[in-house]
Amino acid sequence: MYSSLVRLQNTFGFFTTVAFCVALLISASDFLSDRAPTVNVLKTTQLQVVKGRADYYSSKKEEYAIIKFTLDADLSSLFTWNTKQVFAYVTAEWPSAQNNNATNQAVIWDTIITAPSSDHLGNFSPSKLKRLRKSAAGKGIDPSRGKLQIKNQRLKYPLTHPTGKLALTEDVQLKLHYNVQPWVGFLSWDQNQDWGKWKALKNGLSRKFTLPAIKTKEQAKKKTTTGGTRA
Amino acid sequence: MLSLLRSNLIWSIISVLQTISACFMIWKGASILAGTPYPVVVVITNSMAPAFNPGDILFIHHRPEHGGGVRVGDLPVILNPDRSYPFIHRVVGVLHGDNEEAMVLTKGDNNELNDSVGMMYPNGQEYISRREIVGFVRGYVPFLGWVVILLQNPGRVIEGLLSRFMQ
Repeated sequence: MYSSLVRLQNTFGFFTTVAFCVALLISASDFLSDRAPTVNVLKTTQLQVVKGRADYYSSKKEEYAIIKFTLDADLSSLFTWNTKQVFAYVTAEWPSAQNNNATNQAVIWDTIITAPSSDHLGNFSPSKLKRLRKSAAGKGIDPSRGKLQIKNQRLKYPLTHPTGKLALTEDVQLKLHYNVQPWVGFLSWDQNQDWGKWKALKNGLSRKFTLPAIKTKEQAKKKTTTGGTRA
Repeated sequence: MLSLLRSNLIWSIISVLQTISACFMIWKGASILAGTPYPVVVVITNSMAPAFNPGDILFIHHRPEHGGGVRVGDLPVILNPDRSYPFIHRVVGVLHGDNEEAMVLTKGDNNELNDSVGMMYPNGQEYISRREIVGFVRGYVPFLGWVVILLQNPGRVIEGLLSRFMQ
């Protein structure tokens, strides 16, 4: 009854019960903190569609889009003491031509924003790690984290479609999303509606635009002979 | 004396069997509640770092947080037909072509290439379908999965401890 093994078993059982309760309380604390993420600017600054190999690894020639965009967003309210990282990503979304109810979605850019407690996991260079730690100044929450201000950002990943066609696609929009990764508890994503203290992401959609036609060689030549800039 | 020894042995065997069957019932009950054969997964690789590191535990549910179909940003548990174990990456593309089914593209956060170019899909597939997704990550607990890794591969635990001390 009182052997070492039984005592070890009881201690382990008590430890797991307490750990489970503490984990539940920590994850519940996320719902008590305010979230009010906002986007000030999300717009395209360059649009082009080209036919060729989208990147080094492409096995076939297909139409791919070249998009540059500007983003000004404040996701700092997503960081709490339980936040490990925020994964922010911009997608290009457009209705499917083949299926009326479906939307094509593709990530064109993403970034991982670590909290000060998880900077050491971020695989950063020593100088960047030093800068991040200095900006956090030993605090659990750094107010500067989550402020995204990028201008004329090019795509991180090629934008293609399985049909190989993208030119003249209508109603394309850029959209900012986020995924909050806690230290313990439930993962959460950007929401469409307010939910308690968590507000929906404001202005996270760009204006709709149409991808341009592919420039032909004749169009490119015409531009140069009339004194325009070379493509 | 002999009958006492025999009854003690029988009781010990029964108590071990009770523990094993309790674990089995808890696992199967969790699978039914979560609607997936993999209600709890231990992270083994670094492909989703820094979000998920080896030794972390992920809780899986058959529906994603938004309750609809697959969307970009979801974290699906992917089980290809010719694999014996699933892997977890992030959805980076949901595209609709001439087929009725949506074509899903995934990528590990810590990988440079998406899983199509990275040859993670079998038989030269460029995309996966919803049928190959057995659940979505909904909850997370760090570190506690090292117990499972220790049982499967003790050398890996020593490697993990050494890398932590050498950071």
